[in-house]
Amino acid sequence: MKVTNLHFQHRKHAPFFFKGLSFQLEPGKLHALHGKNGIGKSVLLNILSQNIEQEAVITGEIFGTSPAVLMNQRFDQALAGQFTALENLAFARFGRFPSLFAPLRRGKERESLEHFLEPFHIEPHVPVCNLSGGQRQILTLLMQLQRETKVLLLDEPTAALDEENAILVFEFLKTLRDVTLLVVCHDRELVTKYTTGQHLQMELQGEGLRVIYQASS
Amino acid sequence: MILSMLEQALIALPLLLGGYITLSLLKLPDFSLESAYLFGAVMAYVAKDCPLPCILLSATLGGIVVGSIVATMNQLLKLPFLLGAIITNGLFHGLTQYILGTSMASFHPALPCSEPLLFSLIAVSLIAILGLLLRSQMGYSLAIYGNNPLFFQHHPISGRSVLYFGVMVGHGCAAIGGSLFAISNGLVDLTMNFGVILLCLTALVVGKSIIRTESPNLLIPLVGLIAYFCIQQTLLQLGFNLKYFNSFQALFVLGTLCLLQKKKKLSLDHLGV
Repeated sequence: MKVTNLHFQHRKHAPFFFKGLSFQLEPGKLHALHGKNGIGKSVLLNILSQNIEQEAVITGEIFGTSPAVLMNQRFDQALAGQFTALENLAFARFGRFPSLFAPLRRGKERESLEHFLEPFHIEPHVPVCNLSGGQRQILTLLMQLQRETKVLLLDEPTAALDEENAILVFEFLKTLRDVTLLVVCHDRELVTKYTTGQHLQMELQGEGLRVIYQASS
Repeated sequence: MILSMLEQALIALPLLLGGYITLSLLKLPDFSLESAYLFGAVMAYVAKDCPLPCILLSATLGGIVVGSIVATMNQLLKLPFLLGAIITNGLFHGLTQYILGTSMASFHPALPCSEPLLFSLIAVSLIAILGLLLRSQMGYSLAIYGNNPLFFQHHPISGRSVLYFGVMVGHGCAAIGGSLFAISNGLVDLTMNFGVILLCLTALVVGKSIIRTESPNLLIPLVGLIAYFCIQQTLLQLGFNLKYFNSFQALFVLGTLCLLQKKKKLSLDHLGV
């Protein structure tokens, strides 16, 4: 994914929030986005995932093979908690308009879905609400990957997790070799350990403008 | 007594199936089922000189119209579902009065077979169709909507189409129930829909307390309906005056939910079903 000369305003005559922002994400690597709270990291992730308000003005170019998918820290919203992990994975394969005729899953499909869960010790037939926070977070990411997502944007994916579960999630992210990842996470130690791509730093400059530069880990 | 109970259960079955979809699967405060029930009967009355399939089709379409209006109020006009349902009830109360021209109209369409056989055939057909539907992706989507409506914001699945579909099918079923009730009684009465929501809630609470599953399962309304009419007939045999039955149902729902909640056997949502 490559972003070139990105300009962004919340409304037509509002001051520029981003002006001439440019950066690049290397394919298949985990990148970290750093910056203080409220600086605009989430705004950037929303722009990259094309999740912006109608009145916003955006110019510049975002190159990429497929749209980026944004997952925020409220990952439980992306799960049907009283259904099993296996059922949730099957739900993630539904089309825009769920079929009136196709059953939830067929025999072969069921086996292939169980195969996804095995490495993470997620019990396929246990209701999702009974899984640990880390397992639920991994399950939401696995659900997104059912759609062959190529770019994943993660906004504080471990904010609601304890240290053990946070490590579990990052270990999972490390296994995603075909997915480009951009992660916002305030746990600097964890991010430094797992980042394989660039560290991007967002900072405020004069006139309320945000800039991004490549930082050292 | 058993035959009479069975016939009543067959008449109420389409309504309960509709209630199961909207109240229990989608978990919507679907007060407008009452309007669909009455409007279905009125639309059947409008088509009373046509063959029976046309009468049933007319009733179903009536229910679907009610469903699409309440769903539009919720999805496009962004009204809370209960408010949309209350407004829809008001609109359709006036419309049914206008169409009927009186508060009660007699209704004797030509039937191709005896009433019990007809009601049985309709019940079996509806169970077969909905049984297949609820095992499909759409059936599960209805249950996901009830479990977590926000789910659809995080996946590229149209939650709006799921809601529209479920509400229209649910109201279509309720409308068939209304038309069967009118055919059975030989009249359409503007007050015939009073209390049908309570019937749905009672039967669904009983059904759900016996069959515990989050997956779509038609056994819930079926078992609930049988249990409901067993309770009703038992009370009748004990000399209970049926004019107080609505109060009994309300107390029964309240008592059952409190008991199950106390024993932590049932997680209560806003409808308890």
